[in-house]
This record gives sequence, structure tokens and C-alpha cells, in this order.
Amino acid sequence: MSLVEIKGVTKTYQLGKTEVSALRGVDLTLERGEFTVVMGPSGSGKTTLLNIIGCLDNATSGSYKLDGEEVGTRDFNDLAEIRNRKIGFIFQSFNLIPVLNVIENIEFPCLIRGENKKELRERVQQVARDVGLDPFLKHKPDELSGGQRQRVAIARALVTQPQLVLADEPTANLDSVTSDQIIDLMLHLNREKGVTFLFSTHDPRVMQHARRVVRIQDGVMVDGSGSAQVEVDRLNAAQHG
Amino acid sequence: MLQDKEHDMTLIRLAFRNIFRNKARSSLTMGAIGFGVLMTLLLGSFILGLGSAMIDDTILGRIGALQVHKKGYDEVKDSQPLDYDLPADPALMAQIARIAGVRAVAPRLVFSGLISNGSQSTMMLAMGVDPKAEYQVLTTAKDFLQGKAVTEESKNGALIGKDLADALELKLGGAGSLQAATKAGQQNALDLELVGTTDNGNAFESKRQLFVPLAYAQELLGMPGRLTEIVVGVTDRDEVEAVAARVRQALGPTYEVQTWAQLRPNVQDVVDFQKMVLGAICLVFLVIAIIGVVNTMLMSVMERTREIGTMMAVGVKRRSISLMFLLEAVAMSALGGGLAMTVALIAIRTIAARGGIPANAPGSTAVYHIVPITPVGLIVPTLVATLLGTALAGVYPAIRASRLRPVEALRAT
Repeated sequence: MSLVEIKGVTKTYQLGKTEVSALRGVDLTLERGEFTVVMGPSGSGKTTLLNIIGCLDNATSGSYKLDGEEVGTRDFNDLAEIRNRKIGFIFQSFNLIPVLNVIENIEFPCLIRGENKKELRERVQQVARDVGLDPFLKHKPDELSGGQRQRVAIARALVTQPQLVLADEPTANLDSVTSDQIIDLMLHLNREKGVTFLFSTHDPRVMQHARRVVRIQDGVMVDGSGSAQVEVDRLNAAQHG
Repeated sequence: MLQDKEHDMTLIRLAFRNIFRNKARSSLTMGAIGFGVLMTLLLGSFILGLGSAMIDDTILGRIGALQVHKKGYDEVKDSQPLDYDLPADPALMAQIARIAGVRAVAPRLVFSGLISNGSQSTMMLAMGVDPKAEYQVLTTAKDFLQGKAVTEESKNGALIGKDLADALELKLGGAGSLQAATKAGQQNALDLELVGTTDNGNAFESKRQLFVPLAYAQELLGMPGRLTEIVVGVTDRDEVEAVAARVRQALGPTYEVQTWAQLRPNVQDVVDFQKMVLGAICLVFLVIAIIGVVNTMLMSVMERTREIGTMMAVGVKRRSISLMFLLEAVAMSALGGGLAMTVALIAIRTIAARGGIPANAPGSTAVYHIVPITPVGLIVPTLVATLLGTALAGVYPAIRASRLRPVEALRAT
């Protein structure tokens, strides 16, 4: 059973009197343990696709099964439950809660689903160690660098032991050295812990490491089984003339 | 709405920390809430103090807590009061004095007539009093005295309202006369000597009232051994109704017993009106606090839209988002209101310990001290109204926050 099975998904927005089709019948399957990149130009529909896969938004039509369960027709609270238990999010702007310190940000998704704080503490500290945040546990987000903040976001995404981690441009706000560190960290987590990652990115360094690249354009999947190296070469060629 | 301990504690922790996130704005909001609570309690304490002072003044300075008359007196008191007289019977006085809750009793003979300085005369309302007993019942009656009080020794010594004395140009030690119809209907007159004047802030009493010894009044009216009313003081003002019931039961249907509230309904009306004004003022303060909270919470929702999206993304449900904002509103209210209540209580006790604030009745030189009373009955309603009001104020912003769509909230800058 595939982790993600999307068939014929469409998404239409109403912008004033105009109807905008963001996705026009997308099919996508993700297996467990994949390290996959969704790429495409701005407005191609990749963020919409990630939002639907992340249960942040509902498709207008089509079918979406996560871990074998149809989730496309669930209500808000059901989707919140699914997000909390099965999906981790890493955002471009880190999206940490500023009034909570590192450890509180990491444990937040577990606490709101009612896990016991004491029993949770060891797992939280382990995840923090895994992402290299050990010395900063009591720091508030505004006392951390961009890379450190993204590590907190990664730890928060992983602490619930999700089946899928969605990362929307996770290196876009980081310098190249920090980006490499973050990519290495996610690769390590993918290889060692078997965490499934799905990225939306333009960063060739991320694509270099992707086992699979899917391309989307004008809301349609152009190629769902592309080789990562081909895509990197294509991107480099486009960037250098 | 609450779920389990860790979930709830996380939301409470977040709510409290969010309050201190924008310290200036939260302080202003808590200040508005606190100001409302502070002013409500302070105003309430002074209005209660003023009401209490008015009641005390009525009971201890003018008419006593209860008055006993012959049955039917109340209906004819303005036309033929002397027809409903009572015996000046020491046994009757002692019987009333023995009733539980009665502190003191005093006989009075109330009549009207003319006072003259020899060349001018004017109407007056006179009271023949037993000075010793009178001042045991009316313990503050001497507070606004100039000169001397009525005494048994000065048999024709009169205490006159200040305006009345001024109108007749009577000076202390000056002579005048009283003229009144006796019970039998003949006119009679006696000389008097002005021993003192009184000004208790009541214009009518200052212009028309006069006190003479009981024996003087009995002689003038041809009513030896008679009186028209017995003034009763009680040990506990709040027990007036119960004491009145006991006196009624003890004396039987030949007598009518009236409380100060029945005798002076206008005093109770004024006290009730003051409470109504206080209620209206409290409502205004509450509305100000609610507007402040709504404004702050709406700003907070706008500023934290992306954060709300993040919380939704990691699985926080709509009702938890609402609850967090409601908790913030209530916590701000509890902090601001609690602090203000503490300050108010300290201020009230300090002012009360220093004897209150002196105040003059309009047009009077009489000085009253308004001693603020801790508004025990106002504390809980004020805090509950503030908490409920601010919780209600938080409902709209909280619903607005919880209704955000995660994808749109995450896109917010």
C-alpha cells in the first residue's frame, strides 16, 4: 500500500468572478521512505498540491488516500487530527511560535494531542539531539539563527513520528552553508530513520539528493518519475544561460 | 471545551505568554479593565458610604430608627396631631427599652405654632424633648450645634434652626416667645430664651425647626404628662425591621410603629437612586473595558494570523484556537481586574481609617464625613461582570481566529 495515492485531483479557486484552476487532474503516488521533490515554476500548482497532500486544503475533485485511508472528504477537525498524527510540516519561514522556547516548540504538537509532558520529555530531547539543538533548548526563536530555527521546525515535524514530512522551500531563507547542513540533516533522517520527505523547492542542492523529482506545470503533472540528476542538469542549464 | 490536562495547560501557558508579548498594548487594555474595576469599587464604596451616612444621619441625628405613635397618628399628624397623644408613662418607655435590639427610647411632644421675636413672628415646627433621653437616641444630633443643647435645667431654653434664628434676628441668649393652640383649642404663649442654634444641612429643618424641653411643651399645649411620639434607637441598623416587628408585637394594636424608611421614604429613594446611578456608571466602565479587549484581541488575531495557521497545521483544532483567545481575554481581565481590586480595597481601607472625606451639603455649612464602605456586595458582581464581559468581548475575535482557513492563514505576512 502506497503512503500517498492521488488520482485525478483538481483544485479550483474563485477569485472574484474568475475561476482559477490550480490543479487540473493530478495523479501522484508516494511510497514510504521516499525523498521526493516537487518542482515547477511559480503558480504551477506545487504549493496547492502540497497543501492538499498536507490536509491543509481539500481538493475540488479527485481522490486522495493517505496511508490507505480516503482523506479528501474529511472535515476540519478530522484533518487536524490527521495532520497531527501522520504529517509533519517544515515551512520556508520556519513558523515557530515566538512565545515558546525550543523545547516547548518541539513538544507543542504532542502536548495538544494530550501526550504526557514527562513521558514526552525524553523523546523531545532525543529529537532535539538528532537535529543538533542540544545547547539551545531553553532559547526562544528570536535568540536563534535561521538554520537553528529550521532545525527546531524539523524537530517539531519529527517529534510526532509522522509518516510523511512536507517541506515547502525549506532552504529558501537560509545561506548556502546552512542549507547544506539542513539538507544533510533531512537526508540523514530519511536514510537512518526512514522518514518520508516530500519537498517543494527550486534549490538544486535539494534536488541533487532527491531520489525522485516530479514536475508540475499549469496544474498538470508533466513528469512524475523524473531522475533527479536530469532535473538538476536542466535547472543548472536554465540558470546559467 | 477543555480536553485533557496537557492540552489545556499548553493553551493556558500560551494564553498567558501571549498577553505579555505586546506589553504596551496589553498594559493599556488591562489598564482600561483595571480602571473600570477600580472606579466601580471606589465609587461604589463612596456611594455606599454616602447612603450609609444619610441613613445614619436620619436615624442618629433626626428621627431615630423607629417611632411609636398612637394608632391613627400618621393620618392626622399634619392637621390634628395632638388628638392622638400618648401617656408619658415610664412603664411604657421601660417596656420598649427592654425589647431585644432596642438601644434607647425618648419621648417627644411634636407641635406647630408661631415663634416671635417681639416684632416679627413666623411658623415653626417644635419638638418638646427630654434632653437626656433624646440625645441617647439621637447620638449625633449635637454635632451641628452652636451654643448649648436643650437641657432640663433651662426650663424655657430653646434650640432653634439656624436660618430660623437668623430670620428672626435672634442671638444666643436672646428672648422670644412661642405661641400655639392647646389641645383644647385655645391659643397660648410662653417666653423662650435662645440657648443654641443648629444647622444639619436640611434647609427645611434649619428654617422651621425648634426644640424645647418636654415640660415646656406640655405646659404650652396644656398637656401635662402627655406626649405624641416615642423615638426609638436600635443597636443594629440592619435589624430595624426585626426590632420594629418585636415592638409592634409587644405594644399591640393600640400603637403604630414605623421605621425610619417608612417615615422618610425619600431617604431610601435617594439611596436606591444612588445605587442605580452606580450601576449605570459600572455599565459604562464595563463597555469601555469590553471595547478595549475586543480591539486588542482583534489586533492580536491579525498579527498572529500565520501563527494561527501554523498551529492549525500541526493539528490544533478550531475550538482550541477559540479557547486560547478566550483565555487570553479572560486572563487579561483577571490580571487587570485583580490588581485594581487590590488597589481599590487598600485605598478604601486607608481613606476609611483616616475618617473619610469631608463634604458639605449644598448651601449648608454642616460638614459630613463620607466614610467609604468596602463594597462587599459589589466585589463579586464587579469581577464576575468584568470576567464575563471580557470573555464575551473575546468571543468574536476568538471565533474569527478559529474560522481562518489554514492555507490562507499560513500565507499571511
